[in-house]
Amino acid sequence: MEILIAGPEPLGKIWEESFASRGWKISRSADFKSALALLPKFPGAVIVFESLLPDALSLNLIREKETRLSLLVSSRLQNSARLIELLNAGADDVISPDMPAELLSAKLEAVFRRFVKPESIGTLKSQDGKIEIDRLKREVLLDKKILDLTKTEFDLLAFILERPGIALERRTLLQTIRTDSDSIQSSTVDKHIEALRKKLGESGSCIRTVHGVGYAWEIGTVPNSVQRRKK
Amino acid sequence: MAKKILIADDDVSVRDILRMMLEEDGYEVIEAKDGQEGWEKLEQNKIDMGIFDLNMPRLDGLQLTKRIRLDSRFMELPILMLTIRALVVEQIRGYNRGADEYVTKPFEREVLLARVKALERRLPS
Repeated sequence: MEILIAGPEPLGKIWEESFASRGWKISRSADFKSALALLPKFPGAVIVFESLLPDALSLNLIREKETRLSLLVSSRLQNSARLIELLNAGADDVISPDMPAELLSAKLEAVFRRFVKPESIGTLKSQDGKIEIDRLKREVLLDKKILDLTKTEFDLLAFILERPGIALERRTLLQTIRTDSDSIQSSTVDKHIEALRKKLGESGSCIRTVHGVGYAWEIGTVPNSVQRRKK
Repeated sequence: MAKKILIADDDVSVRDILRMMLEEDGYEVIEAKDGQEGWEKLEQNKIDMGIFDLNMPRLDGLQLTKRIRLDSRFMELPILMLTIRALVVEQIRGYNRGADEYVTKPFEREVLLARVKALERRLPS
């Protein structure tokens, strides 16, 4: 998921770091005009700080043009009159910088679920070409040979490989492999990662343990999608 | 055609208020007195949105939401959760189970309708 945060420093910066640990890609713009310029091509969600909005009407203008954009407003004013105004002007949700980080992420994910996730389509490849993931077929090739992975192992690998160099927290990883049972512990993540490393052979060392946090895909192994974007 | 909203709440007075508010705004309302009946109504009608109480006998709002998200027929249904408690952990659990939005009781008419409309926008057109 890609998020454009249109907000002043330093608040936007704090969020930026907290979102990156969830595996979301963040872009920033410090004023409303430059954010507007980015919107027509922006593939993800936008969070606009209320302080940058000239008025609620300007939100309406965005909504009219960008009907499929996930649009959130960050506001400290949480009285219902303001909430109603912002929602009716086109905000999908109103969040507050004072919200607990966990709640904020859960709310954002609820909004994001409603939009097509481009990352869930197509193939991923590690830079050394050793690992290829086909999301549609749910197939992983290691050195051109099909690797037999469980559903959980597949989900974990795809999630980590897609976000190279980012330390992903155990609870984030746990969420991606959440099943029906609510009893899974974060040690479950460790167990699956261990199994994955074994199956990946030499490439297994690309999954680095980040002590006290979780795991990260060794930078230097960049998925295809990221390479394309850099061009 | 009027959008159909399924209300599942064991409190008949809440159902009445919701029905009044929503019908006034042009929605069609289908009622259920608990999650189990909600599920049955969902299977019998073409529902566009669900408004569920968190605490209900037989099948509660979270269980109903979970069942919906696991069923390919209904998994895209927008779900608004009603709760008297606004505990953060509870909200997080709800969102993670697939609820789209929370409104705390007692709710204001305008807030509820603004939430319903915002949720409608999240639907694929």
